[in-house]
Amino acid sequence: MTKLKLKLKKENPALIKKGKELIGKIPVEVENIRADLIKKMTLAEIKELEIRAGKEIYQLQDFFEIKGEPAEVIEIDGDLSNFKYLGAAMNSGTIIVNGDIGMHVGSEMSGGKIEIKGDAGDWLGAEMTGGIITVNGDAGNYVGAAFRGDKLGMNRGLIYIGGNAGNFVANKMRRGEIVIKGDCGDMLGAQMIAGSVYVFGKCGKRAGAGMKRGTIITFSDLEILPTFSYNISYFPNFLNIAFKHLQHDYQIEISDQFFNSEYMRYTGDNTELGKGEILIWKKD
Amino acid sequence: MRYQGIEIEDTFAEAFTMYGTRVIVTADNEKWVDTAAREATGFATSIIECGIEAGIEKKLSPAETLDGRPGVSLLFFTMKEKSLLKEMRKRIGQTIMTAATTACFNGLDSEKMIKVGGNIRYFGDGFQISKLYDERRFWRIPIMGGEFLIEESFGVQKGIGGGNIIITAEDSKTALNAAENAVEAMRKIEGVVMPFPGGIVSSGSKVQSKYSFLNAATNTKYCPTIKAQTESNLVENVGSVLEIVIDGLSVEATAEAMRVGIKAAAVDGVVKITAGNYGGDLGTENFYLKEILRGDLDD
Repeated sequence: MTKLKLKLKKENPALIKKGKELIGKIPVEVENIRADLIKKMTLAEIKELEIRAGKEIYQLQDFFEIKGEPAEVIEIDGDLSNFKYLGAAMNSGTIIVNGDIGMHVGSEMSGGKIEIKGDAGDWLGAEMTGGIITVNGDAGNYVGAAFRGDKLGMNRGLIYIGGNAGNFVANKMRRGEIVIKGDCGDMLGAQMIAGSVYVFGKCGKRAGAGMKRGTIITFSDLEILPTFSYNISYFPNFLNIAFKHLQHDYQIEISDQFFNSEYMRYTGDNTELGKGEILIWKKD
Repeated sequence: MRYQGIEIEDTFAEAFTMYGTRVIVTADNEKWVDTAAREATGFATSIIECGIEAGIEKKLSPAETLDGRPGVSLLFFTMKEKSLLKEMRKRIGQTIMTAATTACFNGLDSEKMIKVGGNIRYFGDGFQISKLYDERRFWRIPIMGGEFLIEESFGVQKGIGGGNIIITAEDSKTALNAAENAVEAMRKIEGVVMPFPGGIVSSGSKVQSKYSFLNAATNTKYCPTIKAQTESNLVENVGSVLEIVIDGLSVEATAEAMRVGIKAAAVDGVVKITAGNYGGDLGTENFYLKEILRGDLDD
């Protein structure tokens, strides 16, 4: 398989140094690193791809050693925790990051796949409308959320986080799926409109606050807001399909104990439409 | 023509284009799978009076179904594509959704889809919930028994209705035995159903009647008790005639079902196996027995 390989240079324009000491990093905006665009470019064009760091405009080759050839698979090595907007608005292809990455990864993307082997920053997959994002490590706040002032967050696609996630995950989420293997912060699914969020670890406070519709599924105890109502403990058949779909379509491991199992169903937020639901796995 | 010594008439079955869909029904256990399947495909023998033709295609193990529960595959056919949605909505709404613990999924990949679940969802009175998994949308409808899960869209494709074989035998016991053998063999073929009770038609019809208010009447040419009173296709030693009607999702499946059916029905006491047609002017597909049995016939 052809692949474009980028390796972050040890010395690059984003580093802020005092003498020989590294005292900070300038945020770098790499929304031009998109698999769907790069596969159509020549290597020379790729090398000169515009990269913004602070108020300066650089070229891709100023930051990265570039190997391989133009392809719809891009593999990037290095600590990119100060790099933002990687794969934003991408519609096809694959980006693999062997390390950490900063904010806005895959925001507004509509297709393709982004794999982060390390941690990811805030606004991961914000307002995405398709595609897959996987993060092996932790993710920041506002995963799959709507940008400030916007009405709709994530609207189709899947985000998988192998570690923990921050606050406001799935804020105003409209459609799609978010799977968090670890814990997540406060305000999970706040103002959620539809879609499904699975949290296998613990959830923070005020999950589902302002939720209109949509489903939050958790597998550990959760502090339910007083504006949610308990309906029933039952065996939701649709979860068997949902779990199978996550296993088969995305190779996400789901323990057998969660299939054909009992869940407590709470609905709310009653200060809003009240048609959202929180399903809490009832351990035997 | 003969097969294993039994006469096969050199004729053809005249069949029609129909529109078919496959519905997968699951439930908590086989008892309720069977109940739902039986109800859904009951009174769906002939388009003439039932509005739809349906049958059970095959049973499915939990490993073969979407929700990991025991299931069954059902086929439904109508003459017009438009009427399939209307009839399916009634069938699923009244016989599957009402059967305890059931769920209902599309079993046919097709470019043409009808929104059966997308219509039935309104039964949820605003409390229905949609879930979209890998471009397949499901509706969770709150019901008194819990939650009824149904897929939004079901595939539709052109199929065949009215493939048939007619077994003429010396007596009713032999005819029934032959017909049962045929149905058992046909049920192993994927993509076909035999919509009549037990897969067998005991009272086949002709599409005319002496009465102006009737579209169809008993097939007098094949009624053994009046063979001396009317023009008959039956020879003297025929005491009973049974027909098997086949609806299929494809020409190939229908032909294969006819082939294995005829072969299985060729038992001692069967006088002749033939097929029903209207002279070839009405149907859209003619299944010639000679071609279907090519290679199987006696020398």
